[in-house]
Amino acid sequence: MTRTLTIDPITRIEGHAKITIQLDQNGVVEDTRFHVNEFRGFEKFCEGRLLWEMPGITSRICGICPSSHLITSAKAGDDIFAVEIPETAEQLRRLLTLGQWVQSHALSFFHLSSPDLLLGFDAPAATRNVFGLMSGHRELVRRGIRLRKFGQEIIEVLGGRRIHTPWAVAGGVREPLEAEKRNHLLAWIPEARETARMALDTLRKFEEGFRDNIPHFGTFRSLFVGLVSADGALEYYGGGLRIADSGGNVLEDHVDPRRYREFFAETTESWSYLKFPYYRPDGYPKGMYRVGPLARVNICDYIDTPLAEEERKAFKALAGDGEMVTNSFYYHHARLIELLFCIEKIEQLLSDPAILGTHIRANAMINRPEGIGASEAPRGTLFHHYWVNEDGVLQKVNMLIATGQNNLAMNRTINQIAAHYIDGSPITEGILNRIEAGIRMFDPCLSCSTHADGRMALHVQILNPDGSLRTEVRR
Amino acid sequence: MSGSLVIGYGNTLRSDDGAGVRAAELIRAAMPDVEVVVVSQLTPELAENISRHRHVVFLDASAQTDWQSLRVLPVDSGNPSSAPVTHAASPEQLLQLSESVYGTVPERTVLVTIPAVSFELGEALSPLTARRVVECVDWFRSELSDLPARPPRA
Repeated sequence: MTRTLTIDPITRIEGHAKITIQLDQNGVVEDTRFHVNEFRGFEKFCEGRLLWEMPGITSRICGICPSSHLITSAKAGDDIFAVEIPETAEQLRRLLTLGQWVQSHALSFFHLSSPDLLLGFDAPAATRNVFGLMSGHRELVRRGIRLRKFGQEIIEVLGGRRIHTPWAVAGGVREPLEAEKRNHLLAWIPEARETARMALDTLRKFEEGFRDNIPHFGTFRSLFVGLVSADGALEYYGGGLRIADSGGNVLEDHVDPRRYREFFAETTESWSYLKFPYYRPDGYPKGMYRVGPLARVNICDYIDTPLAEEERKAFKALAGDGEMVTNSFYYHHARLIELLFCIEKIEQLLSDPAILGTHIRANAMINRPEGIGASEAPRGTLFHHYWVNEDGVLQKVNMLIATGQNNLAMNRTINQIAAHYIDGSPITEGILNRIEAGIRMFDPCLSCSTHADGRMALHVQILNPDGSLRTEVRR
Repeated sequence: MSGSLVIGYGNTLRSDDGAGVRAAELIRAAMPDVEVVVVSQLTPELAENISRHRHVVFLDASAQTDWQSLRVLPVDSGNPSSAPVTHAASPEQLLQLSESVYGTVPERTVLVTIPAVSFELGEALSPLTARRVVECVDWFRSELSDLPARPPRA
């Protein structure tokens, strides 16, 4: 008799989802599915709104990465205006993007993933959270909270508030940065850098002890996609798209993000609201690709900050011979390298006098009927594509969201984890948590990817082949 | 340890959902010496700020329909939560974080819920909620006057 395991909803992610695991008669995994069962439809209800409203509206998609939507929407507006924004405005947008990465990456590691890594996948679910970390890791938790606060302060200093700031606009930004506030942010750097290095050291220790298990956490070949600068450096705001395979072969390079539709297509499945983007030339589902920290650190030629570059070289040595690090578990590691990069880069930006410039906005009107903005959100490449009429009223909207682009890879990952740990023996809570953790490695933001609200809990159902409930566990 | 901290939270684009924010802004205007924070949602890093105050007031809208007045509810850190702290936290979780990370909690923490009836898109408050938001200022004055005096500096 076959049966189905359902994990619903998955905990410690941004949003609401479930996993079903179909077992065969011998209790071995036959199929797995990562279902996203929330829907909000931002693309549709943005139709009819004015272009000038879009940064403010789309930033409301998410409470975690609103600034990424804000920036990307403003860039789509720049494209429709056909303007180049002032240098200071770009520097300030870059700073906001980095603040977004810091707070999001800190949340992912210190709050969402550390309980698994430091307390163990088999620790009791009731204590496998940030409170459970307090007994042995108080300093790490305290530093994690502070680091996230640093990221939030950057956003607040620039945008006037921590969440849903309307500060970036088509053509630039609304307010410059004052010297006093710049100095306030600079004062954070030493502590933030130390925290990021401490997090990397903590993760390395865990990886050492977990080495035998890591190969079962989403190791497979795929394409990797992200932005790189003109000389191949890790990029987060501008640059061009690079698409590379697991062997390190670059298939497309320095592609103008406005050509994204030539390379990526989306399809849907009846069992999830999360779309399934794929690399168009390879078709679906062969065109699976990964975005986000693992992809970015893999595909760039170098990182232009010294500490992060040193970490990148060590990271790439995990694969060797120019190959990509193909194990999804290393999303955690790449995320922390990026965290270190952010802090170094923030210091660079803040130390540049140009950041205090006051020419921050280019004024223009509707000059193109269509515009595309792209940037690297914490979870991967984000595209906003708008079509407007001559008055700037949105006629059509398409958003290609980072989490969605990892959809195929997340499904592949949970299948691999489930197949390894479910072998016909009793299925423990710790095994189910490992499968959940497979999703958490990608740090998905389902609020963004379906543009919906989220909440967290865990509901595990084991169903008989006829769909009747066999047993269930809630936590 | 500082005096009072007021945290108003909610979505000001969803009508009465922004009542906590509006009330906090009124308190800030009326009493500039009080530290006021307005946020869309409660986030973990607020725990640090909370730990530095002896008196904390959370202001939030509530969709309860069986009462029409302000409700003042004590917030207790003594009920351990197994719920994960992500980008949004509850007042209880923030107190727990304050206690466990910083080793201290305010002497008094309350959640003031403001009755809310409309959550439609828009920035206007319903008449009932608007009245209760204004009442928050008087309530807060009364709350301050009832607080035990701070011990003299050593």
